[in-house]
Amino acid sequence: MAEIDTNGILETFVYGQLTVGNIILFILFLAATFVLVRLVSGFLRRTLAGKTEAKTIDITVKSVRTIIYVIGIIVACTQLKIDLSGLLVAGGVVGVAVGFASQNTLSNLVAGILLMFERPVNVGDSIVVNGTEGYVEGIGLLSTRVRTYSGLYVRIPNDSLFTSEITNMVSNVARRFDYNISIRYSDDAKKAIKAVKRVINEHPYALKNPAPSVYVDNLGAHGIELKVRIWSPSGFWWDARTELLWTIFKVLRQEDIDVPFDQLTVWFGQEDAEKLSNSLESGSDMTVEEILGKSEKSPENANSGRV
Amino acid sequence: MPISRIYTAASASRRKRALSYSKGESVSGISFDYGKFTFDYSINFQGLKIGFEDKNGMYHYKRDIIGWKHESNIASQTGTFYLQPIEPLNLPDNVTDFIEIEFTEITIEPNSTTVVFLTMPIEIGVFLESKNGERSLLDIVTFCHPKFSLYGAASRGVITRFHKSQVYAMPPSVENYREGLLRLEIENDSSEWATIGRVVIYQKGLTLYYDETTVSACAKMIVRTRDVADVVGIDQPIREEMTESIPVFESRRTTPFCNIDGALLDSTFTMDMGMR
Repeated sequence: MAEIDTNGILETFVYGQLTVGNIILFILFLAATFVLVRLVSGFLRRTLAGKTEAKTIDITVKSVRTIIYVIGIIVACTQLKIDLSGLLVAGGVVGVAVGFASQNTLSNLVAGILLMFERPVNVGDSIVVNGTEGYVEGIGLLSTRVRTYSGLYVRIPNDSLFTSEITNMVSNVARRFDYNISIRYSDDAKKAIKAVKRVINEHPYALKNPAPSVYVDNLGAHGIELKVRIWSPSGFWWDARTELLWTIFKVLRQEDIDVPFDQLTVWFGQEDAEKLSNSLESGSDMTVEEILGKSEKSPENANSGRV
Repeated sequence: MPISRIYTAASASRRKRALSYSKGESVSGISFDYGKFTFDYSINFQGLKIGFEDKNGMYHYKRDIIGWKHESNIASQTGTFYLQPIEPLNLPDNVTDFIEIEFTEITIEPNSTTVVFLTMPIEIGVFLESKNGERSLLDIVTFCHPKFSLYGAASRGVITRFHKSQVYAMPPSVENYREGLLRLEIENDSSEWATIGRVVIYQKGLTLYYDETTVSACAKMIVRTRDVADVVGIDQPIREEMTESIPVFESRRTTPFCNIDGALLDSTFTMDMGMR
């Protein structure tokens, strides 16, 4: 049986300097490129699934696929003895030109890819970025679309989003909201706290744990200031916040506890003189300031000394 | 062997094998009738009114529970519906898929097992059934006041449907329209004493059963260390001749706001943020 000289076949010239081996290698490189494209596409689809929109995944996969095909074909072409140095130089020049021209676009693209992996925001999240508040409608390769609470469309370039401080309202499962409620000095703060706690405990979205807290926070100029702190599921905090405030107000009213109006006490000289005169008659040892209950002398009684 | 496989095997071996706890009476002496009914059946029970009116071939469904009303039109040929106890995770909204029951603390010695009964809130589902047996959830009502809580930290915990219960050694009498019974088997697998005051259950693994007086479910809690336990629902009635309730989980999306990465394996929830 005659032996087949494989080396001889591989080195057989087909066209010019092109051998059978070169053609086989060319085909193998193309096949490897095809397999690599399939593997990378599958990996990207699996990795990006659920992290961004299907449309964006499609664009990303197609872009990566095209890049791999181009590189694969260039490498394969070297086996066909095709001189690509001119093409590479031209490509390099074009690349630099395009790079300069699309610096911002590329920056957004890279930021978009990084955002997909870091995932500081997801579609449907309620966020605040650079003063824009709203729901994330979509995360694209170049920009992120936000629908503001008033229904406006805002496009935020990914580069800007990536380098900005992002507040994600629903990233955590629960969040806290606060109220400051003032009651009159004549009201019983203990009774008010009890009533507010009762209302909070009845509301389903005011979480049992962490427990809500209600306490006297400040003795203000116009009333006793109560601080109310409530935890709620992130997706339902706004409902709870709006419902609870009005219910608390109504219950406080029922308990005869009211929100104070701003008050300004005006002292009239006539009244002071009368009060002073009465004190003089009774022979008090107190100063005018002590009698009038003032920390400073008012202009109208500045002339008085020790009684 | 992964925990999920152990549990799958364990629950499969116990599936449908009824326990033998005796039948109790309702606390108030009145029980809600669960089961399959025709559209001419109407309910007037403890403030709940449900009825179907035939309007020229089209049925008109009406529900009223203490002023909370719902109406809808139904085109059905079978004219049958089900009243079933379902997990308390639908009202006022599907906020979570976890039930948390807080109870008086139990201290369990190492390498031992104990069984307790807890009460759990329930909701009542109204299901329609088509000719080919396809069921659809029409309405949900409840006699319970819903309350939610957070188990763990805000960053990695879960929102839970909260309920407080007494601890019972034997099945207590409950109102079957308001509360169900949870048979909780607690196994302390650790080498130290464990104190448990709450259980968090993922509702996917929890199967409800009912009879004339009781609604029940079973779950198992395996204490791994003093602060970590795995909890899984077991598909098992607490006595013979209980009927399995229609599961709602299939027709509902999972919790949108829960970070359960790593904590949830199939239907097993790992309580790794404390048990007291």
